[in-house]
Amino acid sequence: MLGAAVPPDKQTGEDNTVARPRRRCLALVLVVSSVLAGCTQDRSAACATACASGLACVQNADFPGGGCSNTCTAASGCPSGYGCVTMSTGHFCLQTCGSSDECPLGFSCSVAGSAGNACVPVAAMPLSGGSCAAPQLVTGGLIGPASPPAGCQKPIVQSTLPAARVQELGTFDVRAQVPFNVPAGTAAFAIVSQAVSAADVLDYQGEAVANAPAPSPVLAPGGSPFFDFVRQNFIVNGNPPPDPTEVQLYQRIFLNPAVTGTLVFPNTTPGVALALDGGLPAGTWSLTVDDLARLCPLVDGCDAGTSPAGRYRMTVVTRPGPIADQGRLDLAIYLVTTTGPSASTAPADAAMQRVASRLAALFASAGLCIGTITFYDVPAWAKARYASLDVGSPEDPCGDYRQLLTLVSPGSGAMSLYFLDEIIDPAQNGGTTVGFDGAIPGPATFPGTVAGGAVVSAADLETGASSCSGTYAPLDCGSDLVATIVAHETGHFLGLFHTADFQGNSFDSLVDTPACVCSACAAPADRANCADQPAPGGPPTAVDRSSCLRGTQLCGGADYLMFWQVSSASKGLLSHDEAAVMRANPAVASP
Amino acid sequence: MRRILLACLLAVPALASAATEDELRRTVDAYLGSIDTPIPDARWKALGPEAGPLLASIVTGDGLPTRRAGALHGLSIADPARAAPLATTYARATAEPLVIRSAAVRAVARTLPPAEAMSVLQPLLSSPSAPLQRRTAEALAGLGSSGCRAVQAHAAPLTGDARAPFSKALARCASPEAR
Repeated sequence: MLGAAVPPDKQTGEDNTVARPRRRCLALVLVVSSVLAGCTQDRSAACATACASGLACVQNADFPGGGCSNTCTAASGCPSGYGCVTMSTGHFCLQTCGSSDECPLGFSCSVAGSAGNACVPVAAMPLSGGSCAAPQLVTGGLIGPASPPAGCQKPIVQSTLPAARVQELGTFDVRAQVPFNVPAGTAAFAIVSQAVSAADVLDYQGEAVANAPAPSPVLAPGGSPFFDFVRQNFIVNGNPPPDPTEVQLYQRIFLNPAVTGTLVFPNTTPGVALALDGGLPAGTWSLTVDDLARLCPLVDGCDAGTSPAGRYRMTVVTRPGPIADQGRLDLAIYLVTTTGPSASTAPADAAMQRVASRLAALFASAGLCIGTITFYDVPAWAKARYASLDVGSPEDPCGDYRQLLTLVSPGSGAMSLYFLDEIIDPAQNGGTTVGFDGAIPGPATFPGTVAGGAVVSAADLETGASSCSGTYAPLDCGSDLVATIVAHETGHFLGLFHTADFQGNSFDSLVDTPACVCSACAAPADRANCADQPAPGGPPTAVDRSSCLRGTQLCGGADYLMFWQVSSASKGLLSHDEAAVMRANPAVASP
Repeated sequence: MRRILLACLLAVPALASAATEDELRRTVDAYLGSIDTPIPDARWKALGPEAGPLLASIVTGDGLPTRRAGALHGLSIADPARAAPLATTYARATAEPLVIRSAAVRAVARTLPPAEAMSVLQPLLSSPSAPLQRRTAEALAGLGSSGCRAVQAHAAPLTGDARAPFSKALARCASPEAR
């Protein structure tokens, strides 16, 4: 018997998850966020074990999460295997390294002056770290049909990856168990489900919920469980979901729209470790085709209607290991705007060049190099229809938002980004938002599905130019804000979640990113109103820059790229594990 | 000594007020800094009219357009009376970016009585900007039967691409609830 726990967003009343597409999907995806709210994972791992001889646990602005180090002078005073590095608060011994794999959690292997490469606290790394070549900005011309397509488009597409990395498994009904092969040395893989026929939307207690594809369980060679969506999220035979640290080893809860869904491994800290330690077990794996419509009748208050059982085309794409310290991501920017540069002028446009350079700098510190950025125009009808986009019901594959994502350059494997004049968020009663992602993670290398990209407001692009000549200024320089949104939404698409949600009670599944736990980090007077307290009154306390900038693993994150808010504290930081998740994504190529 | 005590007592309300203002500014900054997390109406409403001056100053300031549009949206919920004249001004301001005019159109519909909102919005159905036409028509449709009649009358002679911006508003007006 299957039963349902209370959805996390029903427990606290309102906005307790990250961006809204995720919340909608969470209506049927039970428990996980609330369990994570009480997560006991050690998020202060850097000093969790005793420090080596000659070192002590240091915690200051350079080591906000704590780290084994010591003060030193010039080139002396450090134990063997450590170099003396000048940091903002003084000279400190840092472990020398060949790659980030050798560094403690919260540290990344980076160039550190005369000490060579050393494990540098992520929070202390310069924004412009890394050694990527400058991105190439090129014109792609006009794409899209001359007139609006008739009816709703639900394209089923092929991956743009080389055939050797793509396994077309075929088309199957739900509950079919399908084998697939994981070659030796594979570091990561993605399972992409594309509906041939399936219900689009379910009714869950009066709310429309996307019928997300949910292939599960995924079994490793020998039948050992690797991922089990049902066990992870539902009460089975009266047994609640087990500890999330057990069931979320390799795949955080996935949040997909209807029609097209993607699972990417890894996107958790244990998964990253597995990928970096030599890859996944080679051999014959299996997956079971499934979707929420099949599970719906098993959940109180869920109505799947009368649609026939879902049928899906299944594809697996693999990523050979090892995950290199550097990877390359190409971008396709579709200019669905009524003002600003066109595809032909964008490469030489000063504001767009600033976006490109800032974006490159934000990602370079994570070893992710932006390769080519190709700009495309869209037909006039598309601009008239989509430049001011009302996201509407994102669970509806036929809504404007989902249909926009089907406008792509055929065969492009680049990350698709749609620049718009305005994005109206229906969850805000006519309010606007500056970014919206199609899925976490997205179906990378499958261009043109209804989940195939992210939308970004370009309304600020040409403003604040007087603030755009110096350092990163996302609150004043429009180009810097646009670059930040592009990077943030791309992070979602590649598998990253917010380090902490708005209410400080739900977090990502990476142990080296700071949390910001409301009941510990909010102002003392506001803690009683945190969403995780028994009886909050009024809108629950939000954790913001002031709560999440104490530089600790418990109360940090406001300076991270995947924090929910852009503020004067924003630095666009990415942790070692965040960087590894992005670089492991099948969309990322060798530099 | 007594004078010092008196000065301290007098200073207390001022300090308390300053702290409240800081808190308000911090909260508004947080809401306007959201990337993709929705800020529900209840949060703006909870700020109350006390947030009006701050939000209005952001709307009329020289900040980034998305931030100004967000402030206008928040103002229309937290302090509708203060928002109404600003929304009217910015809905008509042809030099302003679409994101601000579109937010203003919705704020007009939210904050003005229907007849006054109609008089502001109806001329915007003829805007040269198709996206603004669309958002205006949708705002009018939300006003009920009188707004719907305005949209239907404007769209009646139009065909093809010229009619496309009004299609969603017309569909809404054709639904049983709108009649």
